Amino acid sequence: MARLEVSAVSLRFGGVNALREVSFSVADGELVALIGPNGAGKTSLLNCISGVCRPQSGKVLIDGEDFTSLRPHQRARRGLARTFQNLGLFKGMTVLENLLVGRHTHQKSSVLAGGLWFGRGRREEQGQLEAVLAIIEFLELGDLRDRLVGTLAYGLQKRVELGRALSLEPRVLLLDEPMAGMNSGEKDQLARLIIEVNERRRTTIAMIEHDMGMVMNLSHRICVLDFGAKIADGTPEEIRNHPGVQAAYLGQKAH
Amino acid sequence: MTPPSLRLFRTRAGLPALMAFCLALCSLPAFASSYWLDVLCRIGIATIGAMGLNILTGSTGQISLGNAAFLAVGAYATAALAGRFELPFVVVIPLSGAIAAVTGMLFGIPSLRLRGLYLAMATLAAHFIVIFIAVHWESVTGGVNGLAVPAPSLFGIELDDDRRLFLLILPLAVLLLLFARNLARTRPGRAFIAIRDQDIAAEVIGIDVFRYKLISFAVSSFYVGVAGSLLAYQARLISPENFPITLAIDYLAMIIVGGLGSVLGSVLGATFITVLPEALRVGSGSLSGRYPAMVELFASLKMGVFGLTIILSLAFQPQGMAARWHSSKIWRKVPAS
Repeated sequence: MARLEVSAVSLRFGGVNALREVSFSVADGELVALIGPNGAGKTSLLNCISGVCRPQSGKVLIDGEDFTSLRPHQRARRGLARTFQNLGLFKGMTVLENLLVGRHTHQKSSVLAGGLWFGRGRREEQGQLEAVLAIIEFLELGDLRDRLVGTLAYGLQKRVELGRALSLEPRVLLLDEPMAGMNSGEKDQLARLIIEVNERRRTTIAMIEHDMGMVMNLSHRICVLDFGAKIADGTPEEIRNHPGVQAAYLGQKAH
Repeated sequence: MTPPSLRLFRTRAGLPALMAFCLALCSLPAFASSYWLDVLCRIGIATIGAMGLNILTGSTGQISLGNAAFLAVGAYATAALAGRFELPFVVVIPLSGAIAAVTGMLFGIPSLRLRGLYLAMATLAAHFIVIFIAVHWESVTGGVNGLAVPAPSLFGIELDDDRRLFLLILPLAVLLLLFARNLARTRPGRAFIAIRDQDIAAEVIGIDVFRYKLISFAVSSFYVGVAGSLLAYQARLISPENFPITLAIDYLAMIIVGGLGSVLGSVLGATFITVLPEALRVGSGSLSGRYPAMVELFASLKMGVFGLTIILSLAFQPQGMAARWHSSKIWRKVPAS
């Protein structure tokens, strides 16, 4: 059984077919890249998986459980995390606090327990702090721990957002252009972190990315979208030589 | 070492400073005039109310013009519970807060669909509904004539003047402010800010946004309800005229001038907005002695000066008085380091 299974998902905005019967699956521990020209429907697909958009037809399953009618926060509680193309950070909070929000689903404390700083609520907060500090160390964000995220450079904010998603300890992690706007040094660093997350933490990852070199190097498998439909699915080698993909996507990029 | 954003006080001096400040405040009733004691009580009440609004508007980002209405609910609940049922204030105050909390949650339901100015309009409607009920449900509210509220009493001692009432308001305000600060550094408070900053990302990371918006409305209205209850105990006679829409706007001014989402900002803003008209009155009163013709001019100028002061404070400290306070402290540390 696939860890993440998307079957025949269709999404329309008025007369626009953003997704047409798209099916794809990601096995446990796999790192799959979603590629395609601008407007191909990659982000729409992530939106359908994370629950930000509701597809008109089709199903989204994780470990066989039907997620299609769940609200986004219910999906998060079941172990699905994502990052956003244009950053979805909480700018009024510090790096540390952003990551602590990622622990929301692992906590139970209510308004009274929090406000009174008492008993279980207090112990729970301290436990979460340790979990989050470990992730901050892993992402090498220690020096920036107490900075407001709004004051950080773009590349660093991207890393904080990855950290927030990791704090959730997801079964499936969706990354929407994690390397956009980064220089090559930052990209290499992030690639190393993504590989570590995938291999050492055994996190299943579906990632949208435009940097072809990175996509070819990082992913186990690549899924290509064009005009809302899947046109190819295979290993990096297969995709590189796929005539339809070259026409739709790589062919336009004359190197 | 706990990170600064998760501490109860930013600096180690925070706790002793608060205790010293409270002790100083406790000694005030001994020598302050009854006029300034009244102002002091109103500052305490406004602080609680502003803290409540700040949780909803400053932290959670839900603009509300319903603050005067929730004050009214707390005040009328107190009038009914203390007057009709003769309950002691230790029961009446939290119960009034709870009734306001339920009302707040009810009027918070539109926040599921409405944001920003649209939500402000919906809460404005809430204001007029509550005032309409206060005017027309005469058997409970006394209509336009209002209701008398008995003085709160503790072990047979009646807290019937501002001197004694202040000793009830002060600890209550301190407790509620500490609660709010604890909330801000734990799970529910972080959920509030997440909703304010990025509601879609908040939902995707696992926060039930609608639920937490309602919780924010409830907590906020509880605070405002407690403030309304104390207001009733202080005024001893309440009528719909005590709760004009301008009162709701005063409260918004308090949290904006003081600092959105900040505990200290709630205190500073409430103090500033409460004291400013009094200071203007004292100022114009002293001048009118020398220039009797100025009296009428000053009376009408007072509102203008009030507005101008708020505009200037927004222009020169848009982050609020609390941010100015914190930054000035850092500035003072520089030469020492």
